[in-house]
Amino acid sequence: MEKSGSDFFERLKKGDESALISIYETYRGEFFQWCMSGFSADEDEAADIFQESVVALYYNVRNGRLTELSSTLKTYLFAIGKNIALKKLKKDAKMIVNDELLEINSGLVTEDLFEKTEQQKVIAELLNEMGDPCKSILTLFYFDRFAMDAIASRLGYKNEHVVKSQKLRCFKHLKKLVLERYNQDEI
Amino acid sequence: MDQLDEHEELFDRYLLGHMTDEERTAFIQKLEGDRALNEEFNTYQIIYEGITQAGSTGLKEKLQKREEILRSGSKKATTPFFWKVAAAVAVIAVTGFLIWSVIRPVDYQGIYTYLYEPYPNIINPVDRSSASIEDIYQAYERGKYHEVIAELRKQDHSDTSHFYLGQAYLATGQIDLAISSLGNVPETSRFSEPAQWYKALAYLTKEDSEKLKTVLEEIKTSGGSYSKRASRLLDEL
Repeated sequence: MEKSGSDFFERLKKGDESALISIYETYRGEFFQWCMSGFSADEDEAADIFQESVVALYYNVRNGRLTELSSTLKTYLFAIGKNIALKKLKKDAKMIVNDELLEINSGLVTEDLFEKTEQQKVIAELLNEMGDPCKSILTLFYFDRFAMDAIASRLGYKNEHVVKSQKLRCFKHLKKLVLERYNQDEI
Repeated sequence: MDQLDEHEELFDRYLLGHMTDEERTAFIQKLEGDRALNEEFNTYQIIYEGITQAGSTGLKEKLQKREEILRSGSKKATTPFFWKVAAAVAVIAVTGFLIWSVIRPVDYQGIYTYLYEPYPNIINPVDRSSASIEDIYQAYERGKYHEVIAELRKQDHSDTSHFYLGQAYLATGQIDLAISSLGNVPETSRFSEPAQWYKALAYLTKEDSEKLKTVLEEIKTSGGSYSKRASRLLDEL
């Protein structure tokens, strides 16, 4: 395995978000070239696909779906990119995409992080409106998958118990806002 | 205690994939047999998905920001004028490049734009001793930094007020005042480490490389939660 790739992977496993920037800058040029020539994407589309691929890679590592690399990090990243590119092209009717092509890589991105429902968008907006500390605590816990003690240390809380109580308060507040927006039946 | 207090941990363990196969099966069976619990879980899951969306979108936005910085850098380097000059005086350009590679100008503002994000408000509502303090931190959360500055300057000189006053100064571009306020946060404070980091960011945007490196070295050797970031920034410089 290439050394930088395995180093990046270990840093991601530890939750080092800055590794994402290193990954972004290391593979960006090659990915853009590959995406633009292989999928007829323009530069903006290639950037969009690459950004989503890097986020998906991070999420898969953080949620424990990817614990070991059976190939290089680059191969894995490009395989995710291929899946995302094919989905986007299919959606934009730029290409007739055989679903079998997508299935080859279906184990790589088992959920589409960026295919939002209207309801998810609204909830994400409500969370943004709530601001910090709730936004940071809830995203660090559910998206970045940090343990309570790690969140306490990152955000300067006294201990994990304080964060745990705050997280529950934040969740309840968000739930209240969601239920004010939607009827229980609509959810 | 409401239903959420009781089920929060169970729902989290399921959604975050922390259950064993047996536990998952038992949980699903429990949901199938309990309509109220099922409904409560359904709402919980939808909110969880919304939070995940917010997390992924936020991370993508950071990468978009990085992309903008990379593109603005590459545009500067590919202006026709540059290429004409480079073609005409190739030898000088090569020499220039060699010199540039040694004394390469650091893109302080680009790095700052990428790294800077206001520190979140972590003042717990129960810790806020009065209604006015509650208002100050609500204003901070809403980004009303000038209001925060006006109010915090009237407050006692606690580590928290020094820290958030420094944050508000930094957010409004009052860099020297930010450095001064952040410098007032005592070493014993829980805000000591982030205060040092934000002081480094203030020197970064001020393009004061000497002081920036001094603070970064201090953070690096402290072995605290910002030491790796400081080390990487030092490498970049």
